[in-house]
Amino acid sequence: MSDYAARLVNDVAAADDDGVSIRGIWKAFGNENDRTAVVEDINLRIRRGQFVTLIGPSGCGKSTLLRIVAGLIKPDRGSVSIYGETVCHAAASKHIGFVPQTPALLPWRTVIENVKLPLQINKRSSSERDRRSSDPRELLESFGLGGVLNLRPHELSGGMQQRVAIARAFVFDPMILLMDEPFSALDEFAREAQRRGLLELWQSNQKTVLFVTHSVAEAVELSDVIVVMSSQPGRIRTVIPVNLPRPRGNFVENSAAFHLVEAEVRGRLRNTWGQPE
Amino acid sequence: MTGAPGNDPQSASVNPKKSRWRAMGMQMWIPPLVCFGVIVLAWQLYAVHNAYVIPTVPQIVDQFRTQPGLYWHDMLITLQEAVVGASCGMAAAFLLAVLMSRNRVLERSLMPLAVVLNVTPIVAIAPGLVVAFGFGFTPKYIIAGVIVFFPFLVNALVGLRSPDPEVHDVFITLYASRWEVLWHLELPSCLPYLFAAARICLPLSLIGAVVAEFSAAGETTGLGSLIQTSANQADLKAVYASVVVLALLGIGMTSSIVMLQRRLLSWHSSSRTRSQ
Repeated sequence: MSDYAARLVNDVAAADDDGVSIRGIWKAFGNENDRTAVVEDINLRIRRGQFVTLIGPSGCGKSTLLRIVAGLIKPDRGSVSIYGETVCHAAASKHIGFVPQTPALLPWRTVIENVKLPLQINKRSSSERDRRSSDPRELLESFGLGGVLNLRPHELSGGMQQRVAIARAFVFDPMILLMDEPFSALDEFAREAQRRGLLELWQSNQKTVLFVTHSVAEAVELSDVIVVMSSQPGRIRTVIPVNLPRPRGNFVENSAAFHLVEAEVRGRLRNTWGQPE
Repeated sequence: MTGAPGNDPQSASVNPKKSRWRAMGMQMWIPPLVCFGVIVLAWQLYAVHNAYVIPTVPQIVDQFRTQPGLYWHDMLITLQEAVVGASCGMAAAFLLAVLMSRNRVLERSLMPLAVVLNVTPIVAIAPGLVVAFGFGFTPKYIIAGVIVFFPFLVNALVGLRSPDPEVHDVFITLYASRWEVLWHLELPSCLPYLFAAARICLPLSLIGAVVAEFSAAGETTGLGSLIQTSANQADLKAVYASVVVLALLGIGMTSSIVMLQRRLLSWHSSSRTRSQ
């Protein structure tokens, strides 16, 4: 906990290659005559081991920003560096773990085969990467999925499928985990359980995470830093640090501090709606 | 469908799995068998009184008893024409679909040609092909191939484009090459579409082979040429016996595709029974 607080307080810009920096990102969609800016002038630093959440009304470009960091969309202007590497290099050395909105598992593969997929792809790999990869079986067991290794995705619940998708993103021990509303397709109870699971997981390995959500409670419960975005065009409205103690368990949700942060985020979000540009 | 005798799980008390299986088997097989029996009976009744229009059922069966070698030999030839032609046609269609799925320009330039090939009646092309390629197997292969080409191409193209964009995103973040995306994602996603297409295409190729034989029996005497020569000699028994063999051949082709599909695509919803 003291370690964590120190990291949060220590706002001295760390070396640029330690963490993720997003500098001056602009992106517009549409043809030349009719271009709509989706994100404008986004600057953000994510330090090693930080859990950063992007939140905002729909259409604020939070998913677009995440997809730019994932290398799925090229920005018009600006750059992203992931631990000093370009996005392309980071993808090639499998430093990026991506968890989309739906589990996006391959239905013809069993659970364990799905988790092995990243190991089978782009195998012209350095020995360094092989060392990083973890044993899929052990990984799934640590995710509480040891009993379903040989089942097919359609035999699992939605929550378990999403867990498999997260395990797949973890198999190469990525430097950054990018999650695009991973629990939005789940029902309330499954979402709660998955959120707890992710919290435990994060607390045990302190991975750098960029997480997109539209749930304020989810953002507050999970994050170190909440980035509030406004829409049309998508800009960073404000960055709110979440100074809640870790590890966070059931009690956190009922604490006064939690509600304070939650109220602040809600207030800022209301502001973003109140100012149509 | 009315009623489901024996399908009630509570009525199957001793060995629910086994008796349900039997009940399902009965339900599946009895209605078509009854229909078939009624039609054979009606045929026989009509044939007995109209001997010059259609042969009776025993007469047809008798053909196979007296000349098994003839039908077996001609069946093998027609089967060869259909299967070889269809395999080449499907392989070519699939390769083209892979190329088209990579390259929109290629698709736009070649798709209209494929459509023209498809809408031209195959019967109209057959005589010309015989002139060009002679009386051997070649024109038969070509016709059987041409007839399956378009349905297979369209299905393969839809199948190759069927994967969910989010799965595609995962592959991109893993820095997968185009080849890896094709092998690990697009091909397996395409398989259900290919099987659906094959179920249509293999019986179609049988039509192609028979039509080709009608145009020019030549050296290859398959069931189509047997039908033609028998019809010219007013040998109705042989005509209908050949038709029966062709029908059985079609059933055999379709069911072997279905069996292969069940085995290979157990993960796909089309192979799962609804009760699960």
